[in-house]
This record gives sequence, structure tokens and C-alpha cells, in this order.
Amino acid sequence: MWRYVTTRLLAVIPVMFGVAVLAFLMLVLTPGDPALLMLGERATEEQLQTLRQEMGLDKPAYVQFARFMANLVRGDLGRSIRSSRPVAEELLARLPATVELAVAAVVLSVLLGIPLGVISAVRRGSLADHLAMLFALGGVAMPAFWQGLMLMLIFAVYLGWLPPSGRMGGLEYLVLPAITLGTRESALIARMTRSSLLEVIRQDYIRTARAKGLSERVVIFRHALRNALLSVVTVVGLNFGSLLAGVVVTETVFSWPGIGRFMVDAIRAKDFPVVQGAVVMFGFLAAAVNLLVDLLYAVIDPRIRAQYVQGR
Amino acid sequence: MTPVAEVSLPTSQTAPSVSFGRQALRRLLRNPGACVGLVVLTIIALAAIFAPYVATHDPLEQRLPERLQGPSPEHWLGTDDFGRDLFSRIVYGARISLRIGFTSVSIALVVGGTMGLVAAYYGGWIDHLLMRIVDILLAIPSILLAITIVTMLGPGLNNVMIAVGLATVPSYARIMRAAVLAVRESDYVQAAIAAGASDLRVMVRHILPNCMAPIIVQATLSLATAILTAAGLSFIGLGAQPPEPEWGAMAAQSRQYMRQAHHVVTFPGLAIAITVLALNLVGDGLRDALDPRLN
Repeated sequence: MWRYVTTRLLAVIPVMFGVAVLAFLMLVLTPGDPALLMLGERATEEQLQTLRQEMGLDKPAYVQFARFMANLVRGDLGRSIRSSRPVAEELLARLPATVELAVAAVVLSVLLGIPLGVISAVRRGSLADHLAMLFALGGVAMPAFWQGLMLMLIFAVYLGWLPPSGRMGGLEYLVLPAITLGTRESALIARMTRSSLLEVIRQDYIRTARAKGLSERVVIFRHALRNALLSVVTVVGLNFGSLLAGVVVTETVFSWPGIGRFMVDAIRAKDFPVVQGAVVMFGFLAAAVNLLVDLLYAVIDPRIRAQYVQGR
Repeated sequence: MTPVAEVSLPTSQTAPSVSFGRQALRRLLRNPGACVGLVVLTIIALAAIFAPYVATHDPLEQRLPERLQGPSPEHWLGTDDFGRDLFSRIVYGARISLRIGFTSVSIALVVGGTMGLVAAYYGGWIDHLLMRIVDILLAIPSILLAITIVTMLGPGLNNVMIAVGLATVPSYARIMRAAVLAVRESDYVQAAIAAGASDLRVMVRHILPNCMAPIIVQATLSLATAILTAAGLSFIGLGAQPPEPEWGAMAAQSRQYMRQAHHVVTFPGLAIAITVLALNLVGDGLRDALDPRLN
């Protein structure tokens, strides 16, 4: 088991290195003078020179890269051009809002997606199956920003049931953004649950369970669903990256004070250190969740544990 | 003997591939979802091609006295905050969205496909190096990659197409590699190599045509993703710039008037959703048709 954990932990290193290279290249490969881009046409030569020196832009690229990596390892992501505050501090202040939104979306998508998938598979070909799959098709086709705006229009503007935007503390602020972010994911989960459950239901051990005279409920929930959930965990894990990316749009629509919206504002203001920091932070979160999913595999699938025990 | 073997190869390969294609087409047309998707896509494509004839107004013409009007016989889908005809803008927007989809998928296909083909064909350290790079890129969310690339290149439609295309390169590389590995050791490929065909010829003439099924499916499905991603990027201000009638940008520009006239946001979003839905239906249908084992 430890060998498995170590292998997975080590695999995160090249991914994080890749993310860091990407964040670094963003500044280096941007056409034109980054200092001029960041400070604007009105900046004096003196201001430009100071920024170049501060960020090491006057040094060769390899020196800049070494400095960038060394700072990154120490958790130093530079300073925001707009606020002059450390980027890491700014991002960490917004991290809870983003994590709250992402976790709420995942929970919602699992709570909605799995039952839909189960109903759909168990009652294959029925009206319920068709409706669930229609939801699954629609859920992946709707652009998140549009869905968010429509939900806002219906539930906040017309019905007045929920606040339209912001994050003032109450759970009611979380509902619309979480639904917006979680819909696509729940559609994917519903589809995956359905197809993997249909696959599992054909297996011999399910036939045996039925032949033993077990109730359909026990057969589905204790024998079939447990095995089908493995692929569902994969989908949740693999899609967490795109869910995080969806955070960028959802937070912009609902003025949710998280890293996504902060990043969009920084892109518009050409605040490169913040954009670089946000890329690193998102990359880190995606890698951390992938790692968590891999470890979860080993917990729920004895075959993976066994592989590594034999390998020793 | 050798030249005979080489000459006879394409013929022996062509015969079954044609019948397989026909079978796949028959299976595709028997799928009701895929048929609906195909019909909708055809309508959208025709509207895009014949936009100047389909549109009732100039998509950029501003008529401020007519701003934010609801649907009417004069303006079928109403007007936006500049009094521009929404129907005409959506029709022209189909051109932009389809262009985004096809251009970015072509970029991903050429770059990713070549990477996968070369990696699987040559194997060894080339394969190892390319696939490690692909693994790293795959671990980074593709829209994050796209945002990074657009930030580098600057906002704009062309840059969004490049960004969305490059961001999906890793998945194409993986799929192509897997497909090539499956046929790399086939007798007809080995025969072509033994007959002295150059690497390029073996790859392009013998391997590539037999790897197209998974790539076609991926391309159709990623057309939908590309359109969605580009619309999202336009919505946050990184994509198409005003007054271009791109669907995502249209919704973004008019969202502040949503309370007074919801149609300014509703219709462009619906256009995206319908197009993406149709592409997904066709993609799913193609996947089932090209891989009968899935049925």
C-alpha cells in the first residue's frame, strides 16, 4: 500500500513542474515588453525599470526561470501589480470561497447524478430512463455561463427566492452557483453510473445474487452499485479539473469572490503575477484531487491494493 | 514478390474498409438521436453558409430607437441593446462558432495526431518523451491551458481558436497513439515496411487510414467542447471582441439588460446549447456506429 501511495505522490512532481513551466512561459512568451503591458502606456521609464528589476525581467530567461522556481518552492508567487500585496496571500484569502463552491458542486452532482443513473439503468427503456438521459444530454450541452444567468433570472429576479450574486455568508448564496457548476458533472455522473451499472448487472455474480433469492434492492445497492461506483469515482476525479476551470466562469457570473473571478480580473488588468499564481494554484488543486482519487481507488478497490502487495 | 505485395496491399485494405464504412453509416442512420443531430447540424451549417440570404438584417447595423425590443414580425428574435437584429446576429454567429470549432479541432488534430503517430510508430525514447509531456499536459485542466495561452497571445477570436486547439492536443496525441499501436504490428504494415516503403509512406498511407475511427469520434465530440470553451472564453472577455456576433460574447455584452429583456441572453445561449447538443448526439451516434462492440 505504501508503495502505491509513494508512486502516486512522486507522480505529482512532474505535473507540478509542468504547471510551473506553463505559468513561467506565460510571461516569457507574451509578445512585447511585459513591464509595459502590466503598467500601461502612461508608465514612466523609471517605473518600468523598477518593475523589470523587481521581477527580474532584465535578466536572461534561464535566470528568470531559476528564480521563479526557487521562489515557487518557498511559496513566494510574487506581488500583485494592482494591490502590491503578495500574490500567495491574495490567493489564499480567496481559496476558501473557491473550495466551498467546488465541494458543494461535487456533492450536489453526486447526490443528483448517481440516483439518476441508477434509476435509468434499473428501469432501462422506461420514461424515467429517457428523462434522465435527456437531462444528461442537456446538462453537458448548456454553456455554464448561460445556465447561471438563466437560473439567476428565474430564481433571483422573477421568483425572488434566492440572492442573485455575491457571498454574504448564508447557504442561500451558494445554491445557484453550485447548481451551475455541478450540472455538467452530474450529467456525466448519471451517464457513467448508468452505463457501468448496466455492465455490472450482466455479470455472473449478479445472476448468482438474484438466484439466491435476494431482493432487487439488495442486488442493486449491495452487489451491483458498489462495483459500478469505481468508474464513477474515476469520472468525478478526472472531471474535477474541468470543474475547477468551470469555477472561473461560474464565479464571474455570480460575482463569487474566489480565485476564478480574481484570475479573470487579473487577466483584464494584465496583472501577470496574479494570473501566474492562479494557474499554479489551480494546477496544484487539480493534481491534489487526482492524487486523492488515486488513493481512494486503493481504499475502495482491493484489486489495486493486492497488485502492489504482490509486487513487493 | 515484394512489389506485388506492396501493390496488392491498398486494394486488399480498401475493400473491407468501404464495406465497414457503409455498415457504420447504416448503423448511424438507424440511431434516432444521431439522425436528429445530423438534421439540426445541417440546418445550422446551411444557415451559416447562406447567412447573407438567411439573415433578415445587417448583423452590425445599429438602430438605437429599436433597442431591446422583444420578438416581433420585424425582428423575429427581438433586438439587442444597440437595436441590432438578434436573429441576424445569431445566424452570422453560427459562422463564427462553426469556424472556431473546425479551426481549433484541425489544430488539435494535426499537432496531436502527428505527436501520437510519431510516438507510437517510432516507440523508444521518442514515445517516452512525447507521452510524458502529454501526461503532464493532460493533468492540467484544458480550459486552464486555453486561458493561459489566450493570456499570452492576447484576447481575440483567432487567438481563442489557437488556444482551444492547442489545449486539446494532449487528448488527440493519446488517442492517436493508442490507435496506431493497435495497427502498428499488423501484417499489412509489416509487409509495407518489408517492401521498403518509407516511414512517411507507411504512416500516411497504411497506418493513418486505419486509425481514423476513434479520431473521427473524438473530433466530433471535441467540436462541441471547442464551441463551449470558446463561448466561455468570450463570455469572460478573452474571446471575440465587440461588435463581432459571437454567441458567448453576445450574451456577455447584453447581460446587464437581462432584467428588462431576457431574450438578449436567452437566444444566444440557446443557439450554443442546440449546436452542442446536436454535435454530441452525432458524436455519440458515430461512436456506437464505428465501434459495434459498444452496442
